[in-house]
Amino acid sequence: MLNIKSLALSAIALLMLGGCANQNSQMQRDAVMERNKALSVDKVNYVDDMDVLVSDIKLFKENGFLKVMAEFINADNGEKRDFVYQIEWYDQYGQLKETTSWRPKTVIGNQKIKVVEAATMPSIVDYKLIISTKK
Amino acid sequence: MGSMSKIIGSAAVAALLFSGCATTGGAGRVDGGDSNVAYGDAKAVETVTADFGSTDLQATAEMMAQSLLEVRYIAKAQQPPKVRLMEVKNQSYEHIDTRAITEKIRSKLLKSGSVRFVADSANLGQVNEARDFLETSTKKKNVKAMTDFDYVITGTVRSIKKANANVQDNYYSIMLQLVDPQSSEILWEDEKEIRKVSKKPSLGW
Repeated sequence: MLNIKSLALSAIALLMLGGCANQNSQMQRDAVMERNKALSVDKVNYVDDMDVLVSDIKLFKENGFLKVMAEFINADNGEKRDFVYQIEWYDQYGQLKETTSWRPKTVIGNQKIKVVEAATMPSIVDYKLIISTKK
Repeated sequence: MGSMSKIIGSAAVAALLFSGCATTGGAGRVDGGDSNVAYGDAKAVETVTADFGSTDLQATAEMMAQSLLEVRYIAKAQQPPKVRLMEVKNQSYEHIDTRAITEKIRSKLLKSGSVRFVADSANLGQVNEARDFLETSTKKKNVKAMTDFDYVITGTVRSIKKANANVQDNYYSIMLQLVDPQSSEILWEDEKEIRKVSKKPSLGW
């Protein structure tokens, strides 16, 4: 009898926790979406759908070369997403100096991947990240 | 009068004929009318086949150049070291122009201003010819100093290919090294791995 009771309590607790997880992931997704809207003003450009979002961007200089570390998140719960990204590098005058080739990447549902790209010219001081999910 | 109208008539016919030969297209364009040729993005992801392609070449060269610029022998050098490209051995099953990889890296590194390159063996003959020509106006010693180099870049391309009735899996490993030719010490090494999978259509003709 005690076993049935404890089992029932465990099941209820699990259901409640599951609900919290869903709510948390939804909240996290909303926060990421808000951040992306802010980033998309000048730093991130979505060519088409916003299925893959940028959850974090770090910018730093190493040996005089600009480096960008971007973290991508699959905003979809279940589906694996293929996407491509490209970085445009700009100098202090806003001149486009270089672009990387389009990099193909895959991120599984609700997961994140990190990439690091470095400029190969010391005159580069700014960047723009372009993301495309359309095949 | 008759001959005048003949000349005008001939000119009109010639003009018509020439306009027939002219190609179609808007300003700054010449195309063959019903041509299927179009320009595409040279940096776009190419997945025509699972073989080593332009996307792999570009990604490898860019990643290797970024990695090389972080090596302390280059990043912390008092003055940009002189480097020479050596052969990158192709030990894969397919034809891969490995010089295209190293030349792309060279072009990136030269733009960085952190590395200087000496002419590689492929066009050393022409460089020597030019040097011999210059001997009349310059000291050979000065020119010869340009052929000295601090490091060499070398490497290997390998591949593993597997396939069954449904799937073809191509794996490539591109290893590059920066070597000090005096001591034979490997100062830097990096690897770019590429996996390409192609699924064969379940229904065929």
